[in-house]
Amino acid sequence: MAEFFKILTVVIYFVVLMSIGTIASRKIKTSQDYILAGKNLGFWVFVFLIVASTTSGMTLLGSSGLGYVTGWPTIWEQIFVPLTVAVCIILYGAKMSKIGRIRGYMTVQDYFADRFYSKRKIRGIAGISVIATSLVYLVGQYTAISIVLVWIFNISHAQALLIAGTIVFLYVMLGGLYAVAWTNTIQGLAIIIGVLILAPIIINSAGGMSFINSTLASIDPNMIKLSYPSAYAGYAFATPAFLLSFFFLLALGLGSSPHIINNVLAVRKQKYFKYAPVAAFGIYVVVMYLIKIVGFSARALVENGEMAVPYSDYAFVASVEHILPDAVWPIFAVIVLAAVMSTTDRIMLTIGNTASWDIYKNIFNPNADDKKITMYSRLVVFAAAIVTMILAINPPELLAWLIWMTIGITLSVFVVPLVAGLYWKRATKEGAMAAMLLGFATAVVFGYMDKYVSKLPMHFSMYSFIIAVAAMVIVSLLTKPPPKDVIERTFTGPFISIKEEK
Amino acid sequence: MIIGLDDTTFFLAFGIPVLIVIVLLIWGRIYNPGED
Repeated sequence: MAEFFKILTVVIYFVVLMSIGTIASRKIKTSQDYILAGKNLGFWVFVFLIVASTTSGMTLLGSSGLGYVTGWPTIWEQIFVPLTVAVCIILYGAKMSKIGRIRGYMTVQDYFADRFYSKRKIRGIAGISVIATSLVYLVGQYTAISIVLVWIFNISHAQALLIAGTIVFLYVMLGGLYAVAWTNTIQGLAIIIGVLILAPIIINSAGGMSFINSTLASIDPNMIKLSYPSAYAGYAFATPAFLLSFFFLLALGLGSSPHIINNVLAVRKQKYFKYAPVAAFGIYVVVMYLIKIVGFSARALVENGEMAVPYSDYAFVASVEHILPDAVWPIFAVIVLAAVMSTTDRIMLTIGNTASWDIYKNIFNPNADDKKITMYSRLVVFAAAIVTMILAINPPELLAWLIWMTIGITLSVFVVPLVAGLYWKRATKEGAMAAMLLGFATAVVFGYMDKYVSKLPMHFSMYSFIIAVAAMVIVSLLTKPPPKDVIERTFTGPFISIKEEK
Repeated sequence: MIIGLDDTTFFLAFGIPVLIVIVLLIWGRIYNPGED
């Protein structure tokens, strides 16, 4: 009976996703419909899309796992990740979306090409970086999906990948951003409701907050502080210096990820940017805090001999199994699946759109029509699904490291040209190229050093980020200023709201 | 001590998100999106 109920729950979930994909496909008439949902997303669909695109399997399993291992010093993650959505909307999105409306942008690379007066080079560098980092991220997401399906159904890793990969591929291919946005709204709601119901029950079953915190303090008194004084143990990496770099990495870097920032170009009305930041942050921060506290609760339950956790990232799952009867927990397993799928679909679409719009149409075939662009995007989504599923069958041992590497590269490659492009009139094409290329190369070097040579005091991406900032400033000042008409048409300057200034 | 955390830790851990919400509400009040 329990087995039947499990299968039924997940089958219903998949049928809902496929139905949404099919309905969404009827709205796809042009490439703008496919890539940007016709620039027609309403307020709440946009809020859920941007939150669910950010909420990956790592958010749910990884951050409760981190709470399980480290205690309160990593609670900052729960502030920085929701904050990145607000930063993305306010610092990058509000202004770029407005310029995008006037100039007709479809992707962030359109903005880079326009602002840095480089139709091919900047677009090409940015586009290839987007595809490379997104592919690594996608392997991680597929691996996470298959872990969840193997857990629910007890099937093989390859079977799980094939089922999940086919479902996501089909609804993304059919309905483009409409399907991704609508499914993410439903998946986002499932995550919120699930966490709001489950977390208080888990916290209560672990003995309540005071008891949980006293258990953490008995393991290490610093586990109930907001940072570790020094990295005296493997779990004590969250020192003040590390947390500072964590702020830049998560609050600034993550929000500039292509699968998150591109969402701002799809809203129906500019006025949504007034209260979307507080709506997204407010919802997200509550859910994130509860997820982390579930990790603390799991640690208390384990320390007091009430349950076992085979490895830290299993803390959330083990807690759910601990409190719910066998017949009910598959419903809540679906929320973990929803968290992973909601990032996977957005990344797949980002890869497809970047390859078809930025690389194929804008570099190789400027005369390509709407039908061809959409068809190429779908083909690339298919190819990306196949390639990453094959890679995910035997995920590299360094997968978690590679995913952190991609977020680090995003901070080093995209944040500097974005901020300098939007707000600094003197930022030049050469400065942007130097920042992107040096940011990428040094992120790889520092990432390698941190992993294989000696542990760095801050997150490795902090060093490459500083080098990218220096490269942008020095090279821009040494080269010819950008043409005046470029600065005017891209509304460059130290302001966000375009109407008041122009 | 509040919920087993010392007062400073508690107020920082739960006060910072509240402060951010207030700042974001102020952003909502002052941001002028112009005409759509």
